[in-house]
Amino acid sequence: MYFEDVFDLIDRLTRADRIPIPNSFLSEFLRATGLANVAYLAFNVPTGLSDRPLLSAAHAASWRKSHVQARRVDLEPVVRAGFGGIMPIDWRLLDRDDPVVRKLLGEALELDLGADGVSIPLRGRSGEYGLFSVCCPEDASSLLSPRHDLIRRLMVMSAIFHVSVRDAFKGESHVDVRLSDRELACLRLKARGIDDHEIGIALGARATAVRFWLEAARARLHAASVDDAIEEACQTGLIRVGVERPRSAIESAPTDLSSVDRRER
Amino acid sequence: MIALLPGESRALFPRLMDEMYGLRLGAAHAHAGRPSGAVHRLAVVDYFDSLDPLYVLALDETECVAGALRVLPTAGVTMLNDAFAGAAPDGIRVESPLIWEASRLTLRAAGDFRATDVASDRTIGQLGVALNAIAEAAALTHVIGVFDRSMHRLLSQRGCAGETLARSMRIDGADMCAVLYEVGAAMNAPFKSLAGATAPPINLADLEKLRQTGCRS
Repeated sequence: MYFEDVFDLIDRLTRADRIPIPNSFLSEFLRATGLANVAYLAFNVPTGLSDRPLLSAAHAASWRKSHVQARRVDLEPVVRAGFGGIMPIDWRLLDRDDPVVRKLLGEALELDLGADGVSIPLRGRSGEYGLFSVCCPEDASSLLSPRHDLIRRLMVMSAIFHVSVRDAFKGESHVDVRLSDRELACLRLKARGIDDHEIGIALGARATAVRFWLEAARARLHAASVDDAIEEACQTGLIRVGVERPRSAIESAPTDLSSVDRRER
Repeated sequence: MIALLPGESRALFPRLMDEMYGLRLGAAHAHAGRPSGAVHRLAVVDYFDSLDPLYVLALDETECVAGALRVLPTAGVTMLNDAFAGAAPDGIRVESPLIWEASRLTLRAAGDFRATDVASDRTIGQLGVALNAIAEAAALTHVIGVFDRSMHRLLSQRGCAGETLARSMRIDGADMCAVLYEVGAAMNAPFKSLAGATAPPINLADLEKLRQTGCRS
C-alpha cells in the first residue's frame, strides 16, 4: 500500500482493527523514562489466520539488482535500516544532510513528536521483522540518556512487547516456562544471594556462563530484569527458595549437557 | 580495515559479497575436501544469509576481503537454534535480545591456518575487536560463536576461543561447536592483542555511519 502523506496513513490507522495486548511493561517503561512517543511496526507476525496469507512477488534477480542500484525502491532511512538491519539506530547519528532524513525529521517535528530518538530492530523465531522506536523533542534529550543503558532497556522491553503482540495474535500464553536445568539452577542459587562466581564454581562453569544462563532465563520468562525473573520463577513455582538447601540446588545441576531438559525440542 | 555490510544492502556491494563467499568456498575446499566450482557455490550461501544478517568484513590494504563473519540476533532465526536442533546448549533454544550469534567465520589463508600465520592473526583480531564493538553498541551481554572445528582450533591456539557451550554439532558433514563470549573488556583483550596496532578504534558513531553506508572505516 502507498499513502501520499502521513496524515492519510494516520487516518487509516485510526480505523484499523485493535487487538488488546496484555502487557504493562510499555506503560511502566514510559512512566519511568518520561518518554511519550512510541512507534511499533512489524510484519510476518504469525497470526494463525490462514485465510489471509501475505503474498510477496518479485522481479527476476537481475532486475531487482538493477532497481536497487538505481535506487528505484526506497524507504525512509529509519524504516529501511530498521527492517534490513539488526543494529539499534540512534537518530542523532543519522545523516541530517540527507534530504530524506530531513523530510522524516521535519514530519516528526510537525507532528510534535520530536527529532531525537532510538529505534530497535526486532526479529522473531517465526521469521517476523519489527521496528520499535521511541522519540522525544531534542530539548528533552536527557530522557534518552545515558544511551547505552537506554538501548539495553529498550532492547529488552521491545522484545517483551513484540512477544506480547505475537502471542496476542496467536492467542497463546505470554510466558514460556520451559527452562533448562542450568537456567533453573542459576535462578535458584541467585535467589539465595549467591554471587555469579560462586554459582559458577557450583555448576562447574565460569561466571561468564552463569550470567549467560541468567540472561537466557530472563528472556525466556519475559522479565525486565534478572531480579524480576527470579520473582516470576518463584511465583510460578519454577523454583522454590527457602525450602531447599543451597546444596540441593547445586546437586540438581547437570554435569553432562546431554542429560538436560530437552522438552522444548 | 573493517567494513560492516547489512544484508539488506548486499546488492550494493557485489564485489565484497563475492569475495566473502569466495572465502567460504575456499575454506570448504581446504578443510572438508569439497570440490570447488560454480555448482558448489550454493554450499557456501545458506538460508541464514537470506535473513538480512550483519556481515563484518576485514579488508586488507588493497581493500580486498581478508576475513568475514556473520551476525544474527538470537531472538530471530539462527544457526544454533534452527540448524542444530537438539545439539544446541542444554537442548533448548537460546533466545534473548541481548545475545547475538556470530557464525561463518572465514579467513583468507593458505591451507591449514598455521599458528604462525601473522596475517590470519591480524584478521582474527580485527574481526573480534569489531564484533565486540558492535555488541557494545547494541548493549548486548553475550555473543555466541558458531564455528567449525578447524576455526575453533585456530581460535583456541590464539587464546580467543571463548567458553565452550556445545562441543559437537554436525551439519553437512562438518563438525561445528558453539562458544560463548561475554561482551566487554574480557572479550576485547585477546582479539586486540592479536590485531595489534592494526585494530582501528570503533565507536558508535562510526558504526552507525558504516551501517548506513556499508562503507569501510
